[in-house]
Amino acid sequence: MATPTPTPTSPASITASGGRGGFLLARARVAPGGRWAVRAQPAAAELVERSVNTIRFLAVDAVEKAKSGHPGLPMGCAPLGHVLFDEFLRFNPANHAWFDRDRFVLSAGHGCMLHYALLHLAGYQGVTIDDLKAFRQWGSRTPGHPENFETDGVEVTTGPLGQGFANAVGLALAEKHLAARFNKPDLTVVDHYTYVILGDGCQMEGVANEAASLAGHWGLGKLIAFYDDNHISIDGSTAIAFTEDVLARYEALGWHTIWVQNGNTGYDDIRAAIKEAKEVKDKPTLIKVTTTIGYGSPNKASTHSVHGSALGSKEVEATRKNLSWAHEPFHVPDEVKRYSVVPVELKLQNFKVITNKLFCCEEIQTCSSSLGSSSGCCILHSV
Amino acid sequence: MEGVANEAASLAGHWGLGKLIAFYDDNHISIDGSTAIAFTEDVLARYEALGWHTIWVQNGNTGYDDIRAAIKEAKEVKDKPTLIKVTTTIGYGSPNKASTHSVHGSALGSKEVEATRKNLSWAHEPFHVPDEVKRHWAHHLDEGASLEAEWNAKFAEYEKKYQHEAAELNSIISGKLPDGWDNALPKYTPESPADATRNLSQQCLNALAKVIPGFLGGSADLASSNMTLLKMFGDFQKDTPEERNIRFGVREHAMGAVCNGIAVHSPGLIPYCSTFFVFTDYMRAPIRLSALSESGVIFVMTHDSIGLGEDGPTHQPVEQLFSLRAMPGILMLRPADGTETSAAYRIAVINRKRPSILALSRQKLPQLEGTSVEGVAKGGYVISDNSSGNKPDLILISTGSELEIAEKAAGQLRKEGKSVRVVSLVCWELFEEQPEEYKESVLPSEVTSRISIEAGVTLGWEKYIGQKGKAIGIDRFGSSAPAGRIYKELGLTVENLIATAKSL
Repeated sequence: MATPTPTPTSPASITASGGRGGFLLARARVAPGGRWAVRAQPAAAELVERSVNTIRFLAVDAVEKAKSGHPGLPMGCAPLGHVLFDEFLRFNPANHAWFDRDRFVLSAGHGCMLHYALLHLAGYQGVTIDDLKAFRQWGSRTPGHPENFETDGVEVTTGPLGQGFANAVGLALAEKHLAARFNKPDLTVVDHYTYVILGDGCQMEGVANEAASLAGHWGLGKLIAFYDDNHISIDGSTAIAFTEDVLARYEALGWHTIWVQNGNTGYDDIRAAIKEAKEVKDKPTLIKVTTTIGYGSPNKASTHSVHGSALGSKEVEATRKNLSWAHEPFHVPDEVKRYSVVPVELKLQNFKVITNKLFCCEEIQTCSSSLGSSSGCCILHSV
Repeated sequence: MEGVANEAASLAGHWGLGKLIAFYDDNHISIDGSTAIAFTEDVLARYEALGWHTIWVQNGNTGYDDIRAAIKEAKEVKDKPTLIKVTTTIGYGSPNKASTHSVHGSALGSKEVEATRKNLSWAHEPFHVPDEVKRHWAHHLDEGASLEAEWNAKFAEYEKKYQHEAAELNSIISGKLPDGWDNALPKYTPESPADATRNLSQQCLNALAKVIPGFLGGSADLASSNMTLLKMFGDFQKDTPEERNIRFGVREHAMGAVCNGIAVHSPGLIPYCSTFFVFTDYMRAPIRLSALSESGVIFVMTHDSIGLGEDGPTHQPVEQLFSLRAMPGILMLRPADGTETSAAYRIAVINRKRPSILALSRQKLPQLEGTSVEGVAKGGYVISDNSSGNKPDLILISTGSELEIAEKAAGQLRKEGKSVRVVSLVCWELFEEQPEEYKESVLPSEVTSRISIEAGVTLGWEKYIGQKGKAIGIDRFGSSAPAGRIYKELGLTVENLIATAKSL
């Protein structure tokens, strides 16, 4: 089959053959500047900010509509979430089950509006804008804590703190195990990272220390954990009950550690940290990201009340003013939408065309839905 | 390796427990072999990160002076707990089995016992204690007696000078509750305002803390949701250890175990701990040990069912009521209103040799007619009944938040001419302890038309509804939705209860 050599502005295609057991046609639209690889540059700073605020307000609005939920973490972790999902995570929104995707776990599961907003922006069919509006309602696909059997794109069911983090260690173990068994010198078919966001609560739970001890012992170098260091838990400041040196503890457990001191606006710091973490091959990495819980809310940021209650209509309005977000609830600005709902092929960073052993799957038939018929895309993927 | 130890160590460091000295038996062996297999962290560095002072005794086998020096040093550190890592040889002295995992948990066997005797030049027969060793240890009897006599003299002085404090301390030492303590418990009537039992619980906790000097406790970072803050006290912290609100952080397992420790310290210390009911799963081991060890810890568990709503199935208990009722030696109490909550606390405090677990609602519940402290003390009782001759047409049995559903349904059925008895089975263990005649008077065997309704699994209810009865409950995980919607969708409604009654 012909190797694709796309030109910057014209569609590329590779040889077609239909049906199961053979190649599948992938009609790819390649963005300017790209081969198969996704844009190497992040979006312009202004667009990043707008995307980050989109994430924040989707969370704020969903919690407000449900009159229930946890806006604080989504507001504080929106910058981290944007950078991670948009610039680093390798995934195919049209196929949440693509085998070699990066895994993401939100161990602080109560912050799930962050995850749902990201899945929505990324183009996952399982999280439409109506799903976001149905947050925490009977029968919705956006339950109050992530449920992997309910929402495509959610890897594990979380809620009880610390569990997701330990699940992430399991996901990373699986990658390392399968990579060791199946990768060949000339062909790497198992190669993905496991990312997890955990908060102070998860850190206090004993299970997280058990799992971290194991991850360090096993040298799970492709496990990257983000510790949302916002100094707040339900009962108030972490000074009340949690004053240990977390990074020192993780070092004692055999982890590499990094501290991003400004998780609110330090986008380059976040990028550099993830890059550094990926370069450490023999140890898992904990990136402590200091954020402000409820960032953007003028009266409730940094308080425990923003952890687990809706802001209330007055504060929602005040937050909109504060962040200059003049849009109505659940609005995704066009430029953010255009930017994020890219042709799904472009999310396959560094996609390697494998000349044999390609199989199609059921997903192929239905993948084109969100992009409109003009793209007519299908996804090449390996089993 | 156990996570609970890290949780507890983190708390000890935070609280600056300078008079806690831990010895880490560093023998590099666990059941499956060398610790290199699964445990390669830097333990001392971890404890330092948790705020401990650390010391390493490299020769725990023969380094007696090193051990002495380490303990001395540990005692001099006043503001931090100390971990002394003592490197030892497991099974020291056994020539063939020392340093192996087989000496961890199996008898040496007669051959190796003989070899060990030879190796350590121990020519004595089994169970022999040499005279000089006996004589040496005997000094502890005299020394101990004089230590206690000294303390008694000091305490006598204390009693003279500080009468009030001495009386309080005495009650903590002896475990004797102050006279009339239970009068402090709040009293409710059907006219009292409707309220969630978690709020009513807070009223009880505060009332008890006022009159019981050894009453203290806290929550695993949910004090503002569990409603467990004692308003007249501050937080127990490094610099304010005299205070009585204990802030455990998100560490349920350690919280339960720490409370077990507090409970066994002195008979009059009555600790309570709190989290969401579903997180008893995180705390099951200490609950079981509390029961096994006959420790009367009080477990205040709120958000006890689908009634908590939108947080969803990971937070909604379903099987916890049944699974805790299955555990021997505990009291599982699920009060329905203020009167029953107050009564539950009375029982919890009285029962010093059994832990009590209270399941409390997040949602507001009405005060009910017919609930009583005496009834709750019997574990199960009739709260309303329009039958005569102990032969109602129908018996409805319920607990906690569903009791009002049973009451409402009974009311409607009575209007239609039925004789209906409503039973509150707030604590199965206490009910089972009642004499047969009493149980018969509440649940007469002749009456087979029985329906139970509870927001939990139906498993277990067979015992009380019998072959011909029906159990309304939840035999699946819950859902993320407003509570009222979940109740409706899962059939825990007055309508469904009435329909079930008619189908019997």
